[in-house]
Amino acid sequence: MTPITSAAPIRANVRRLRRHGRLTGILFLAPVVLFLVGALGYPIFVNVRFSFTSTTAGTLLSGGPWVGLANYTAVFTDPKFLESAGNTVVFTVMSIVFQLGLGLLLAAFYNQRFPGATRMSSLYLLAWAAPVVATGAVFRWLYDRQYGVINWLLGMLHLTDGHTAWLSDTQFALGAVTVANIWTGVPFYVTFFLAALKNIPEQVHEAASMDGAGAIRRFVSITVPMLRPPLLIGGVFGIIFTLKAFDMIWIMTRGGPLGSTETLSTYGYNQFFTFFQFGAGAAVMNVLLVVMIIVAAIYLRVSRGEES
Amino acid sequence: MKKQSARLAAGATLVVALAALTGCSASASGGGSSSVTLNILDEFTTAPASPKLNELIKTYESANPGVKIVRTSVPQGQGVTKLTQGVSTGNAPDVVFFDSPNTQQYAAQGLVENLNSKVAGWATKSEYYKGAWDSTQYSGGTYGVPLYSDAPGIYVNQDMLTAAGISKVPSTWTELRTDAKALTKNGVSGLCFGTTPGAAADYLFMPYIWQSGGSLNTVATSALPSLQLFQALKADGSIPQDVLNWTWQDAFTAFQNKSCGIVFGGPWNAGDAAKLPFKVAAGIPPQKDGGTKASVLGGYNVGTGKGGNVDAAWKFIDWFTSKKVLASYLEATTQLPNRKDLADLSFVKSSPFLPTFVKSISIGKPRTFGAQLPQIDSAIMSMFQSVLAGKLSPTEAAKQGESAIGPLLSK
Repeated sequence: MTPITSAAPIRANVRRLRRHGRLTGILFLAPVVLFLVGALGYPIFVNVRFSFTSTTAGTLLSGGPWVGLANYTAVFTDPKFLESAGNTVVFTVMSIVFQLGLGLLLAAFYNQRFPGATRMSSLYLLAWAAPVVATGAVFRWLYDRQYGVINWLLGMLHLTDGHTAWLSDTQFALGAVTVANIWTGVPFYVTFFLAALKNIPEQVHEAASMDGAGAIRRFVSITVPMLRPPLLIGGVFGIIFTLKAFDMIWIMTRGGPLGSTETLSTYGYNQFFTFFQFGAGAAVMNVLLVVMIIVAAIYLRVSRGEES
Repeated sequence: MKKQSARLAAGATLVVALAALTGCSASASGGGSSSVTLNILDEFTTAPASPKLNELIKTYESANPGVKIVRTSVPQGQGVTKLTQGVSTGNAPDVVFFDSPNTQQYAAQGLVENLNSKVAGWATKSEYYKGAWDSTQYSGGTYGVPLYSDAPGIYVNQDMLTAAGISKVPSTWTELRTDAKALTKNGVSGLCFGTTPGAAADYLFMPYIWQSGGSLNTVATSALPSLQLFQALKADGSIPQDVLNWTWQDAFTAFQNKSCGIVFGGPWNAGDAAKLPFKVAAGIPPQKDGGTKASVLGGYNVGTGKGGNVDAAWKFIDWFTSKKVLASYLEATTQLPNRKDLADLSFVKSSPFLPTFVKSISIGKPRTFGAQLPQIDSAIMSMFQSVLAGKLSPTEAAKQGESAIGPLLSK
């Protein structure tokens, strides 16, 4: 008897939902919710749990003993973590500023009408589409102290002695890796901003020209303000992608020399897969996650403000 | 309600019965000889090691019809990740071929089984050299058996050496410094090696720390002479700045390109060294004048994983490490033996370089520094890199090394 009596309220609820047209909405939402819970929510939950336990490879399934904030304390008091955090900030800020800046300038350039502009701008995507492994390996050779093109060029122009150890000198390594990362990211922003620029009505520029505004004035006063939404989206996405960047650094320097190119991604990876400190590794990844959530929240707040 | 309870009870009984049957079946496959699937994890992805292992697996399967072997191969250095994933997802392998220095870490992490009961009366045990057997030990347990060993040494460009008026391969620290300086000219660096993160600093530098008569417990004093040696070599201009971002292979490539006169290498470079268009000679790691003779051991061990088929896995390991089978594997892969009954393999005798590395193995010590080996390795690397980068003096680096390594040794 119980099943019949318990089914009745459910049917009533379904009827009520149908009446209000909400059932369709719920059904449409269900796949997304299931995906978010299963593919994102669960791993995040496991990672948060790890960060509060002393987990070894043998207890990955069963779960290690609870250690409270010990992993976070260990990570925050590790000078290497602080150095990695500093490197992450430098790497991210420099990458984003130059990727967005150069991307915008190049997009503005290719938005002009001249023969081959469209084809040339499309070619940029090849650099973005190239596998990071290949790009990283090529940059390693470009930066080579003895045989690298960069040293050859700088030496020929008498700008340096032509023997700078770009990736082996703690002074230059982070800058060298950042430049490689900027080079990889610029083509994406060129394409991204070019699409946005096409949406700015030509009449606006024409009207400004008639009012006597020069090219720079039009770029600063019309183009940039009208590109605020794509700049915001590009910036947020860029920050999130760059914070997570791992492959380029790993291929070029593996975080060395002496931790000078270690970022939170490589630091966290080493905690997990080199040192087997699963709790500490999870704590680092959670710190990164919180930072990314904050960035995303700021974006949502700003974009809501723009909409209203 | 009664009907529902009865159905539930019947269902539960069925589940329990099925679980019991599955359990029976698993236990039968684990210990019996009727039908066993052995999962093997190794890091031998290239020829000749990979095809030779396949060949031996087929031989074993033919001789043991009830045994099916499923092999998973990952690139060198990625075995640990694969093993961890396997254990964490309940798909642990039965037989694991792994880098011998990882033994204590794997044992502490519960990734491999203790084989004390299997090796207690095992006749082959007495054939192993002490250093190689010691590499299998952790907290009184035996976590695998040695497969083959390697030990570092140096390769020198003999043409360059002769041109500089030097007649023999450097064998002491003093000779190393003098010779490296003499070879450093015209864009050539005297001494090359790789210290990129992950380049196994313990393998690279431990011989020189041990030669000073100390251990990792007293790094502030035992590492000081070797740090001073490398600082002096750097100050002489003999070591290029590139070593801070070079791997071992990068350094050997520079040696092949005649950019380096002397390079730290191992038996794995012997094949390439023999093909070079200039005269090459090999030597054991230069020894500290008046110090203790020492080198360091690397190589592979083979153990049983947590796959649940320990008996069948041990039977395979016992067969694989039997004299005839292992000799055939070592001959095919030109890996160096670490036991008395396999000391006279023909490929070693016929090589111009390998007898030198066998000599290095004979004075080699295992890296049994406990479960925190990767952190210790990282601390050793930081010590030497700090000096090579000119960030710290040898004394400061040694002190910093001791404060970093000391707490790790007790774990």
